[in-house]
Amino acid sequence: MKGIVFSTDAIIAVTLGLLLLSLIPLTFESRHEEASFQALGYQANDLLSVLETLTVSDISQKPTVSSLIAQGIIKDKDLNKTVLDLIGTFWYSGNESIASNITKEVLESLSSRCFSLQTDGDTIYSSDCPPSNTVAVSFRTASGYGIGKPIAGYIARAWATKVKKNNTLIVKGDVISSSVKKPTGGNNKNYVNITYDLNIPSSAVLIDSYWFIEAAWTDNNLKAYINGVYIPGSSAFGSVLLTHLNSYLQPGHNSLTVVYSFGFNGEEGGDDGASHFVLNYSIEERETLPPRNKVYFASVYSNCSIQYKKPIFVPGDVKNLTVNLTLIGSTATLRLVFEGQTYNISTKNVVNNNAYWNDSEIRNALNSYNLYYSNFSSKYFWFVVEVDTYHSLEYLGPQRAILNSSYVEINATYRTQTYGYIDLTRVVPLYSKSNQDWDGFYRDVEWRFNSSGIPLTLDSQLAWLYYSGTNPSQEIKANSITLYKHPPQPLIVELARFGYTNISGEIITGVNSYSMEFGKGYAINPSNSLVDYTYLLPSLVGYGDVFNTSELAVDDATKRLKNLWVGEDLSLVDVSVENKSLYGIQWLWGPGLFKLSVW
Amino acid sequence: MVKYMLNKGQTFTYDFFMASVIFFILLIIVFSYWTYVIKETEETRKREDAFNYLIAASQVWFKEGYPKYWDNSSVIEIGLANDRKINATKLQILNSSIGYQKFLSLLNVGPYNVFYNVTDENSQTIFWFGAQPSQAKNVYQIERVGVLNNKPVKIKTILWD
Repeated sequence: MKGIVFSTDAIIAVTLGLLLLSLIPLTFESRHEEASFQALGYQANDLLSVLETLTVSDISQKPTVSSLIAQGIIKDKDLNKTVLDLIGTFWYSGNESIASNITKEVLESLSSRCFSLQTDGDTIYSSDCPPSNTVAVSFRTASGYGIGKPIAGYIARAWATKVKKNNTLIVKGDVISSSVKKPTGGNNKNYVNITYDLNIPSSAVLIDSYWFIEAAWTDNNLKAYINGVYIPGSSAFGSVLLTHLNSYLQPGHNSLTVVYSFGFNGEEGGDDGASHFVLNYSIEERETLPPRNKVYFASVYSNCSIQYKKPIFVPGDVKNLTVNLTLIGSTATLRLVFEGQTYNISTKNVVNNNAYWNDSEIRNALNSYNLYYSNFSSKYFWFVVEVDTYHSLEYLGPQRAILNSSYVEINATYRTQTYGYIDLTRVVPLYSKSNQDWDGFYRDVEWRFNSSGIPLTLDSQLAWLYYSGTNPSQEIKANSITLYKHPPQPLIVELARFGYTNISGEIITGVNSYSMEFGKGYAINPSNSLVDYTYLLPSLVGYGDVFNTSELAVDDATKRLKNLWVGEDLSLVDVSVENKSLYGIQWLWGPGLFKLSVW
Repeated sequence: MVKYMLNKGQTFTYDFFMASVIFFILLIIVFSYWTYVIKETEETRKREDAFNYLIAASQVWFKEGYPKYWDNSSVIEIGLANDRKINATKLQILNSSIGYQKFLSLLNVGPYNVFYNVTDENSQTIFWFGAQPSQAKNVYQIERVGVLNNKPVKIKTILWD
């Protein structure tokens, strides 16, 4: 019994060994197939090379080509085209049968194998053969002229190196306050001094300017200065509109200062966030947008604690945020406000006049409230800074300040890249107002603007009115798209800013609508609000048609460039044109991927 | 107990006998098979080499060689094409001055002979070169397509020994 078992083992082992050995010829077989496949591959490549090498004149005796020449469809200037170019030209111009016939007539007699020629997935010609598992393919990319089109001449492209544009520079006020009233009542003798930086491009020619100032409390005394020079007529209560201020301005850096003080009874002096300085200017520069990675604070001096609310709008996705403050004070508190809700970040001691929050500190604090940077994508959020513990009623104390070197640094992925484009900013006019609430305040307001080019941002600064204790509805729309709606979203009491960019039809080419509807208890003063639209226009055009002279090509490129700006307040000052004389540049069709299979 | 031991001894003898017979039979089978495999491997290697030589020989029609426009005295590497077409002048030089033996030494196709037959689209021979196969043991061939005198041509390359 044991013997049989041993013998069976031996037989099985040897059988397995033989099976393994028998696999060796299979390997030989596959190598043999590989060689056959390689030979097919050479043939596929050769056939495509022939199509690439032979010219139309070389195959002029073929029936289809001969007939096309006789009909005048193929002209003398087409005779130097390659056969592949000819096939592509007819195929891509809808003459599939001609392309197929030429392929058949040229290739059929050259190969005893089966073959097919395809382009972009469509079969131009295929032999009438059964399919095979062994198919070798070769590829070529080609593009070409249309039949009868010029194959030599001049083309040009142009880009505007200098344009003259009329543009608008806007400095929007932030929400800044500090006490001007004693806890026991009456003037605490504090002066809240706020200075915004106005950086005018050095080559700008000023057209006109105005400055609307609105104080935190309607009874605040205020006085305005530009570059330290008092503006006559600027001593006012609550608000003032100052016009034609060009004589106070200079190219480069300018300072816009407002000093707020106690009026009749209002507790805080400062800016209510609706103030704005608007400068219209012309300039011979394409790009005038400020850097987007840092947003600076205004400088604020006061002898009481300070509260500064800095609005941030990023038309894209926020990646990192840091806040770096240069301060005079003992402590600094940082908060963030989003959609009317306040989120505490932290309080820090001011060390060497500095308080700094890195990205992790801000991110982690917000995440603990389930608030993420992704929430801020193309929406306003506010950093709120308090220098020392903030009170609206205080006695005069030591000087506190936020200096204008303070900034919020933003690392973001922007929806629209601006480099190389001509940027234009326009103030958007009011279209309608209705449902008046209080003097100058309306519950239904609409602005309309015409959009061309590439939309960047629609930004608005709103003079708002809220009745304490009420819960009014708020709905903001761009065209017919609802951007914000309370309820269900939270009530935004201080709706001082609202902005958006185009994501899915919020800004369309042509006439656009930006509207707001409020329930009882909330209203906007459109006269004191400011809506502006920033968009981009291209500054270059690529190569165009082929012309007989370089002058014609250059004229065409310049004309095409100017046509991009039709209807814009924009003119070409300096253009750089690159023209090329061409022979053999390929256009009209393609590039197409040609695939030749042989089996 | 004794009976048990006797039975075991008988079983062992029978086992040994059977195993030895099977072992030697299988040894003969394995040895024969192994010899066959070795022979087959050698032939396959030869075929692979031959195929590589065949491709190299056919590629002559699609490369320029060195120098680009060589003649009988300057040729270092043979190549019959220029500007993606077969150069008719080179064919003339090949036929008239280079000769088959020098061509073979430049081509480096091992122990094999080469024969080329160039035909037009109607399969009419327009050029041939090399040694035609006669009493060949092995014949390998590949057909390529090129352009000669602005016409497509079929080039049959035959390698034989």
